Amino acid sequence: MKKKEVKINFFYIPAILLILLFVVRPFCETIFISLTKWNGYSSDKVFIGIKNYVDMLKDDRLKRAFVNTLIYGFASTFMQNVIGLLIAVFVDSRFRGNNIIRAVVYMPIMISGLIMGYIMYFFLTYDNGVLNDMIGIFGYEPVDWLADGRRGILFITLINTWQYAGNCMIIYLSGIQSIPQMYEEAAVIDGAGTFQRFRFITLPLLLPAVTTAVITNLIGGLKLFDGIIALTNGGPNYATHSMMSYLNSQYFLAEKAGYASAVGISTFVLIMVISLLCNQYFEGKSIEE
Amino acid sequence: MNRIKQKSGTERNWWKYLLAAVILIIYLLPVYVVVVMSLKPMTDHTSRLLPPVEIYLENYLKVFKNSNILNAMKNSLIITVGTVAIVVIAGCLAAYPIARNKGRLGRAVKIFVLGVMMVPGMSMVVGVYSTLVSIHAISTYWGIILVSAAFGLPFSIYMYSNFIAAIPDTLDEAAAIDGADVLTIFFKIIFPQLKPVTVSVLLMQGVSTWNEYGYSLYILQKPDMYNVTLTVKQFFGEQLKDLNGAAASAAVAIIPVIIIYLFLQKYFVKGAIDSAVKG
Amino acid sequence: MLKKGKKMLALGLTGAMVMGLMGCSNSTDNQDAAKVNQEETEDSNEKSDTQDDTKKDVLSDNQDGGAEVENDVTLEVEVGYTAEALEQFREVIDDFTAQTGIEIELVTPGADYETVMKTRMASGDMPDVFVTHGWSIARYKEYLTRLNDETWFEKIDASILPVVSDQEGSIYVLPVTQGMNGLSYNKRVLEDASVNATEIQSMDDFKEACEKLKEKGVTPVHIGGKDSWTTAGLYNVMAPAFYTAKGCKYPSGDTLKDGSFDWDANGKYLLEEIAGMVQAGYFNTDFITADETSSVIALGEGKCAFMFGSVGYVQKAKAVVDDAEIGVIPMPSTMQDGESQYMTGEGSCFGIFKDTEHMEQAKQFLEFLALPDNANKIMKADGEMPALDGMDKEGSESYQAYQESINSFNVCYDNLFDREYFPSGMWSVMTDAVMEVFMDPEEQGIDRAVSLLKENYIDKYEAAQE
Repeated sequence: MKKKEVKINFFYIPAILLILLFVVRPFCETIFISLTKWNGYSSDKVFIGIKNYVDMLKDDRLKRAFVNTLIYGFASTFMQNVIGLLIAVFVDSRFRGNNIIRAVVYMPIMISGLIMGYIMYFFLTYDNGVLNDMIGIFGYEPVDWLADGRRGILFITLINTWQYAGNCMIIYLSGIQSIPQMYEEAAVIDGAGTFQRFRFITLPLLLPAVTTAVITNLIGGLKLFDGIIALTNGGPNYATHSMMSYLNSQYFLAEKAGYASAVGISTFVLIMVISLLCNQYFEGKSIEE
Repeated sequence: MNRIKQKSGTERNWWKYLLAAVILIIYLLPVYVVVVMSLKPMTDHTSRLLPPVEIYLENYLKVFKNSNILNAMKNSLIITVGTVAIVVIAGCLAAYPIARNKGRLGRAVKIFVLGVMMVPGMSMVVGVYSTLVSIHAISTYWGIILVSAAFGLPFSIYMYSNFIAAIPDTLDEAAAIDGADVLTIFFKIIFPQLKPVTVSVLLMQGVSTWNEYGYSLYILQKPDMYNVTLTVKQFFGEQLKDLNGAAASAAVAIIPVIIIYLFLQKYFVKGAIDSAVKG
Repeated sequence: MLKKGKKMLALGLTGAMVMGLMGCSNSTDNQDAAKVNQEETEDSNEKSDTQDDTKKDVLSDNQDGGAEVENDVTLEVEVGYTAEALEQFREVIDDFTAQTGIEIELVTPGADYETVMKTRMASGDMPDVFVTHGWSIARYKEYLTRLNDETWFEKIDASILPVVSDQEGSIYVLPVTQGMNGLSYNKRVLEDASVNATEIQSMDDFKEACEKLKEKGVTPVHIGGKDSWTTAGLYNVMAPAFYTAKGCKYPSGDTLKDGSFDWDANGKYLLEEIAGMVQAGYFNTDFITADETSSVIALGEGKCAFMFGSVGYVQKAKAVVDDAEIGVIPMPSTMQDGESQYMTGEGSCFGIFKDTEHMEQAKQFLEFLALPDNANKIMKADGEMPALDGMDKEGSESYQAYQESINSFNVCYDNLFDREYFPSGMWSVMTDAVMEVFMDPEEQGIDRAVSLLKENYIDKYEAAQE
């Protein structure tokens, strides 16, 4: 057996080579850049140690972007799961055309985040925006929706939720449908109501599905980039940036490549810690159940 | 008897149909708005909700004439197929020893892969770009394919290794005793069992590669190498934005995807389920 | 918990190991790249004495000796044009290929032009010829070929020459067009509000005009704050009237240049003016989220009266609204008897990568672009003003509008404010500062904006001195 183990270790080679060359090597270069002062294009790089990391501590815009990233990650994950679960329960309840709902809710996942951001821009412009037209029907004055950073964050979160809720829906739908009918029936005989059945039977049995749904959506939310670029470009005044889009703006607009790289490395650490913690949390949970 | 019951069911379920209608509107409105806008000229400032008075196809002509979107679709297709192929093959190969070797190396590789999965791609643009320059891979299919594959691999390895771990290793052991070599065992015995997870890796990687924007922007510099996202972005990034023309380009980009999705829906759904339950 | 810690540790170790391995090879790579970039390329100019023949060669399809140029090559040319402008530029390129046999590979990243160029500079992988969009000296100089010895050098318009020259008087681009920055206005709108554009000689006149326009229910000034360059542009156009134009209120050109500008005392004046304009409601309601296009449309349609920025808006507005009548005036002074000012910037300027493998062909290409017929086509495409003698000035609507304006004003000219008086790299800071004021046009916002400008100005000034 030992010999076979050694042999199949060769199977790692193609994947590991690719990752080393195109992910790890650039990653190391990023770490190196994060220790320099560099405008991102000239040949003039000055080594400044960990100054960029120290500077991050007093950067209010970065704090904003950090908080936003957590909002984009956790709030949209939470909403995606709630909405996904509700739609899953709804689709599972039998009515004609439920498959159409399932198909349509999953559909936006196919569309590029960038293009979706642009499409949503049509809804939110002040002049001629769809949302303003709609509230206009009810006699309200048009609102410049994205002029307020907090509203911008809300819309980005909502759009992200809307676009990817289908993923949760599918996961929960399969979870629900794999629950043996007899559990439900037994509960009905015991006189459990709809909500109780859901809380005490469906939900616990769905937990493995929850883990996947939460972690994949969380990473997606924390890495959010395209949609922000298309919708607000981080504005107004840096209010809606995520760490990723803030990094991009620092790198290419503010010409602080060293600093931006430090932000990148920190984002990596942040995402890693959060998802490892979540993984541990859910692993612990599912063993308890 | 049955029919009567069904009818009363429909009546009792009126709220379900109402709710279904609301969901449909929320999900289809953006597509509707894009289509409506794409059929109006730039000078038409009527509400984006109102259908066009007169169908104006000029925007679409412009998309096909100016931007070569068909070529962009071909590029996206080549890049997607290439990336998916590498991600599937290299991914399941690497996942096999992770799942089977319980030793230190296997665990280390698994943790390494998990870590790489979380690396924010955009933070390394310059590093990736200079790597590609040094191997003359800018504006080539293989350049973008290798990069997309490298970033997609961790997820596929993760999914495959979980899946393979669930396959009892009695089969491959029996084959090994019969003297089959490891490659044969893998491709004859293991790989065929991976079909469900392969479908989901294929579809998820396919969708994300097709929609990729960040890296394509830097790697695909030449216009005849642009993928679909970059082509659409061109319309939105013009100095004098023609939002109606841009809407037409967005429509041309998303409608084929939606149609393909509707045809392959069954597999997408299955893929998503497998990735969730087995993952 | 223990297990978790172990996992993290293992992860960290793997990472550290790999980094150690890869890190070294990387840093050497970078140094090598840097070295290549630093190399002087004197030899690139050695063939300049044969340049006189080149023009003939261009026309006679390069038949006879002199500067025998190999034409079995492909030049990579990167430009920022999009849509119609790009189509028109493509025609020029096709003519060039037809005449010389030299193929051109056009790269057009559109709105991402700057970002893509920065990545390419960082990896030393530059196109043979590219547009420098206002940054030939401040950003691209170290990657460009000195071009003073080209035949077209003598034809460069006097107003753009200093803008594209460095301190030693070297130029690195062929300027085909130039941008004149001031105020564009819709003639009919001003007429309806009985405002005479030629009477706007000072900021007070300008504000008076804005009040009249507001009474008429027209937005006085349109700005598209979503596009970051519009806010920086506002600062850039207004700043000279406060700090550097002849007869301005707070003359500080010298202190800005030698790094001793007193931000705490003087930094706020311009920002206060902008804040005042916000509070007085001179800007469009959606000035924070609108984009440049909507400003151009508003200007063309007469929904607003003024737009700050390049005279190029004249043609752009006409592209949107056929019968729009757009005029331009120079930026009025802060003092009644001060001089109004036009700031000159690069329009379409083409430079050659210093390490290009096809230097001769690239120079031949620039030579070709400098021919009046081709230069005129480029001018039509980008809507800016001619920058070379012999171009069709009458054919430029921007030039016409500009020409119309200069007789009524006491005009002085200067480089763009930030290129002349700020250390390199302040552009995005100007965007941020103006945005701070837009979001909070009170004392606090102004203070934040001043300190932003101050910190970065000092930081970048010191970096430039090193």
